[in-house]
Amino acid sequence: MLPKVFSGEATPEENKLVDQWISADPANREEFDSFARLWNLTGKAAGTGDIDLESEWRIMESAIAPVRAKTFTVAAIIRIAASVLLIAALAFTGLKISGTKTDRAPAVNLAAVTLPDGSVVTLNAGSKIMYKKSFGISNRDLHLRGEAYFEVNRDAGLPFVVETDETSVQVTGTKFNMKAYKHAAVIRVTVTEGAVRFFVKGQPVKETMLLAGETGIYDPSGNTMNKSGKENPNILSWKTRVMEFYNTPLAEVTEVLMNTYHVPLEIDPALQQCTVTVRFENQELDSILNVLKSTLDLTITKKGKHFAITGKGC
Amino acid sequence: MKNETYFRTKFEELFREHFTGLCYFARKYTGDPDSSKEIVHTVFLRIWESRAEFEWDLPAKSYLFTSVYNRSMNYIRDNKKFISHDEAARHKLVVDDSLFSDNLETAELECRIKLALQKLPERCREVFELSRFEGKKYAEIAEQLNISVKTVETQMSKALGILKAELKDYLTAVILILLLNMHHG
Repeated sequence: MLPKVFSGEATPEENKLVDQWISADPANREEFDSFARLWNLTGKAAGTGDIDLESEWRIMESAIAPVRAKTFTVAAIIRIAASVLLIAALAFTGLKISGTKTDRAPAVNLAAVTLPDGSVVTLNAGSKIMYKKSFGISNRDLHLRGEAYFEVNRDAGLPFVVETDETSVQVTGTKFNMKAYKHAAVIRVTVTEGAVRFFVKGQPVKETMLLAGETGIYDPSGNTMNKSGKENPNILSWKTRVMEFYNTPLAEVTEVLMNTYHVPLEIDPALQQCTVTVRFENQELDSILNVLKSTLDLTITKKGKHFAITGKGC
Repeated sequence: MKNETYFRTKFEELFREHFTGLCYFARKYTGDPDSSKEIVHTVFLRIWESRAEFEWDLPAKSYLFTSVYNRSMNYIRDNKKFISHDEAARHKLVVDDSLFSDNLETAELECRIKLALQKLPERCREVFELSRFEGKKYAEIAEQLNISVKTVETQMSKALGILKAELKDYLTAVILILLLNMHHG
């Protein structure tokens, strides 16, 4: 009868019976109290949501699988899996989606996002942006993790602000690339059209105005803000798949390739300073590696998903 | 000799033992199940990456909860501006070190209750959750599941009987806490 009493299903007669039963014996009162505690305790589990330990473990298992993927890929797997679970959970519980919207690019592909104000963002693989539902109405603020190219619609009344953990970029209408990976040493902003105000949050001194062709580099470890006027033709390679190298050290070449093809490349330290002059346009990674191989007399071995580049040096 | 197989076994044990509790714990701060899982996954990934140096023989519980706590704090800091005002107020109330152990205990308790619920036979659990969590009347449950009201009653008693056995440690623990509080009072 106790479950009925607690779920409010008992009739007045039944309630009375239980009352009498409680007063009849201290042991009964104790049992009643213990039941009350149990009842309260179980109430705590309401709305905590189910966590399927098996499927969570499978996600972790694939993340720690011996063939090592790049860190951002692992994080992306978890994020994608988590968002799938979230969507499933929302669909199941019918909960309202909160005020934040997140757009993400898949681990190895780019994603183009048109924002509510008509601005277009191209996200590099594994990158994401987050913004409020009020974006385009009362603000144009968004948060970036990773790398993205922004083509911002002009709206002098509502500044377009891209934030990272440490920095902000503010524009009214312009085109720029921003590279702000969570564990990268620096945050880079390169302007291709118009002007950009690039500053460190809460530090008005650390501010720089960037014009087309200029790159602002913020180094959080030394808290320094630098500006470079040197044009880097490969800033947008990840998006255009066009790469130009003029006496470029191989270490830099592989960096551009990794950022574009999202395949880990391991390069023998002896080769890092070897330089190449070459231009690639819309080529597959395999054919690019073949060109490098014959130019510099390299040995390139595929190990699972990643490539090891070795050679005699220059 | 500690090899990959050893790390793997220890890691899986640790993951299975604490994952759910840590997610509930992170949720106390982030308010978001999705991000909470992401935080806990990241903490475990870091452990895996440093598996050679990790002290596998020491109790890892406080290390885990502290790591998840720190990452939850970072999450709140990073996402502050994306939280609506009333939510922000709620977070402000929660972001308080003194609540650490309370939240830890509650998260573990929620975890235990969830595990206990999973021990219930399917129909029994369904009846119990409809009544306890959704506040449905016995008659409504009976209609929804196409069973008799009498069966609903039986299933409820059965559910609570099993839960009582599963959670008996906590029922005595609660008594102890109550007694302690009385002494303090």
